[in-house]
Amino acid sequence: MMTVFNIILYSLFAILVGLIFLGIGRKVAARVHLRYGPPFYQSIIDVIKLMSRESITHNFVMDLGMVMALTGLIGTMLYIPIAGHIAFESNTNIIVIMYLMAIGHLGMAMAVSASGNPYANIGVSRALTMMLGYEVPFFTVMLGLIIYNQSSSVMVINLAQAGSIWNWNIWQMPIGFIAAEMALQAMMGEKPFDAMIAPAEIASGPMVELSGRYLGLGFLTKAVGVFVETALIVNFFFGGGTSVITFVIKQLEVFLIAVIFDNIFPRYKIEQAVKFLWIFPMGLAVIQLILLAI
Amino acid sequence: MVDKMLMMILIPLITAFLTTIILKQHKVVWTLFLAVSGYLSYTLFTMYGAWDLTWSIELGYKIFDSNLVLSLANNPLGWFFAFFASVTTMLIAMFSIAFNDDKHDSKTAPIWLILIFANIGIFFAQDWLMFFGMWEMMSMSSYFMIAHGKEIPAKAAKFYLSLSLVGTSTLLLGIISVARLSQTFDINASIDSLINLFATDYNKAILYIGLFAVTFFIKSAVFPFYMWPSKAYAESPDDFTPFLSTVMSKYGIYGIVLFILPILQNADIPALGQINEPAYILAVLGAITSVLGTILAIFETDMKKLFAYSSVANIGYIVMGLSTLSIIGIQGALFHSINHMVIKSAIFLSLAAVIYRTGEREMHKLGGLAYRMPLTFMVYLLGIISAAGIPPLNGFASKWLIIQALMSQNMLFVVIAMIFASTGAFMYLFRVLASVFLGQLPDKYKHIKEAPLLMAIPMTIIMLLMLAIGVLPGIIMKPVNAVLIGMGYDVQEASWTTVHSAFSNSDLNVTNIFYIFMAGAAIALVFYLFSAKSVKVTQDDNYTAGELPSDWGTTPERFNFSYGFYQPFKEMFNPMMDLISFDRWMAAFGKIVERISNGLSVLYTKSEGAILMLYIGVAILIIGGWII
Repeated sequence: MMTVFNIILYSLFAILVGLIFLGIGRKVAARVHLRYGPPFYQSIIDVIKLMSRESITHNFVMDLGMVMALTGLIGTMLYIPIAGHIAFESNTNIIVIMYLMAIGHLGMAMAVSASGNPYANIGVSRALTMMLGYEVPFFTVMLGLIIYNQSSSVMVINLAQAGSIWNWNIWQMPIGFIAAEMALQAMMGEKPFDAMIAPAEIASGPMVELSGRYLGLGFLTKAVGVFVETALIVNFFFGGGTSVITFVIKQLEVFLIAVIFDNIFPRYKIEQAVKFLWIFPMGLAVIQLILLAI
Repeated sequence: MVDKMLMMILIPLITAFLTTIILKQHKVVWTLFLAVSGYLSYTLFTMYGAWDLTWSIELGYKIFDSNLVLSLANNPLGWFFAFFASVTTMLIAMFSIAFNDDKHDSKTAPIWLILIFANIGIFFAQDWLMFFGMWEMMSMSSYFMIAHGKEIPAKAAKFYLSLSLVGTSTLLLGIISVARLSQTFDINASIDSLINLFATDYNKAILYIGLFAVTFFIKSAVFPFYMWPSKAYAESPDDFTPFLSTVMSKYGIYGIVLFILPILQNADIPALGQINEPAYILAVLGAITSVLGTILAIFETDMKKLFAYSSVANIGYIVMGLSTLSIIGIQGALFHSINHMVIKSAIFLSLAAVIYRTGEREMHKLGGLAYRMPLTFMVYLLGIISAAGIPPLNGFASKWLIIQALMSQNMLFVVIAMIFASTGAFMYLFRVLASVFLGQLPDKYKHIKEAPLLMAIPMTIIMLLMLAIGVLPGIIMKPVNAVLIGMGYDVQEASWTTVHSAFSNSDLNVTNIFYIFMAGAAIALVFYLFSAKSVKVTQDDNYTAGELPSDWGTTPERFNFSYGFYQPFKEMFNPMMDLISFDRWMAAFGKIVERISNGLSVLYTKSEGAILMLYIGVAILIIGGWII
């Protein structure tokens, strides 16, 4: 019973924090542009509005896919320790987290592909290519962490950094951290790695046919995705957190770095992006791995 | 009591001859085929645990002072592969009854039955004579299966046959050299004698192992023999392709586990890292196989070729798992072998159903079939989810074991290759989903019906199997651990729900992932249900920047983005792929051979050549005589 209550609490917390992050991100983007910007809770209002409007669907696959996307991300989130707390008794395995996250991407891709719009398909093909681009360097960084700690559990990696601020992995493996940050930028689909969305080019790609409840579910998926990705970085490099509040603040910092970079860079073409990801972050990650292995 | 072992190989053989007589009655023939595979599955099921079951016959000849014996014996490893192979065959057989109707009948049931006979023989053979005979029988009959009396398939099959011939000749050479060493044809004795050889003559032992390895690599399409599946799988009968991919690609794996693995494990080989040099070569070959298979699959536009390369990539994972020489890795590899059987039968059967209804193999000519064939779509969807290794379906636990084993053995760059391959898998798996099942439904496929009932039943069973194994990995892990105990490893009995690895805090409860997934689904569903209703619109009612698709005179087929799905990616890799195309090397090599042989043939066919030969012959005689 406690577990069920925990699962609901953790999911709602992740969704809420993720939506507020997105709102803050919009505010910061506006300030970078010298605009005033919407209030920080704008994303929550957006989701409520979208959920209450009538929408169009093409077939059952679209409904199935959108639900699958949110399912995958919430499932992933439940495996991530938040400041040492986990939703239920698990070993918080990194490989499980990576693969569960994939079901979210697959569901999203399926839903938008079912809409039958070529723009959506182009977006998906780019997104999957990009995924191959960032997943390999990101995993290489994690591999370093796994070998260093002799465990593939996020919890163990997190606890190994307890104590002083100098135990954080960001000091132990700074090169790996930079590689992970670059891969994270692509993972969140922020510029310069947003070829899959590219509003001016392919009309927001995957999102082109989504409206109403589907776009709302997409928003929620994105929010949980941001929460998961930043939480991973915080757990890996910033020593988790002593309390939930410090954990969320660290997450926000990681997210804001991504948002600021998003606002000052132009967009790479997809093959340029993948090449960049395989040369720079991958190179740094491999250097880090070799340094650790020696 | 009639000898179970003998019955098991005789019944397919007798039925094969029986079906030849009534070949025209395709319903009867394929039902007999189903009955035989059902009988085999049942018999094998009852044979679990009866490891003293043997059958042998003395031939009355003597070589190396030992009697020649043909013998079969029940053993955990052979049983493991044979049982799951025959269950898969049974499901495919059920599909085949519906598939081979008046229009599609490939008339291959008798050959297929001989293949099943050889299958049992290979998995239970106790001596090299039996093994070789059955191996040869399998190569030949599968050649005829792939060709199935048609011209284009025959060309693909010829390619397969020539590689098979190379394989069988190296196998024969290997068997003879090892038999001379151990003075007997017994498989276990030859393993022991090779282990001893490693202590005395390292290079020779490596050479002998290499001879066997070439055969096994060819059969399982490990690099550098990765290219035959794309030709052979694509052209073979659509209901036979699942068998090729699920069962026949495992012969090489079985050979490696049976013969090469115990030697690498027990012989006195200098260590390299946490494993040894030959094992590293195996790992690197596995890594190259899976990466190449993945990239080539992404390029492919023909769906059967695409999944042929996907099979190659999966064999790569299994080889990587075996190369770790650790319990976790071998568990993962054996588990993945069975998972691959289940997954690929789901995928290839659903594609066969699509081909049965549409007659089309090129992906970009299809589209939107999910709305006409929802069950086939669901089977394919669950198939790709497990093939991508996503929990809570079955592909996950085995991939997890292999990755964990590679990481705990510190094989860092092999793990990166594995991650590359399994992330790349999303790309090609999704491509078929998007091009065949999603997107716009062309007008000519508007009236397509769902696959017939006899196809739907096996597909549904496979779907349930994927879910069951995914939630309770113990279904496969228990036999896997029985195999490992039989091979002399120190393992506990496997648990139903949990898999372990060598790292700290890494007992993974797979059933819990299923529950968590369900919890996530429940929460997502609440959001979905509590939002406003949606209206259904037609498929071409799309956002197209303010213009109607009909304005440009576009049709549903042309309104699909599917032909150059990964064009940028392809352009990135093309220059590199051209460099390492083994196919091209083979072609160039073939040309050189052709030139030389043409030149040589002139010596015999033309009169000038004959005179030249005469001169050369005389010259040799004179010089030879002078020297002597």
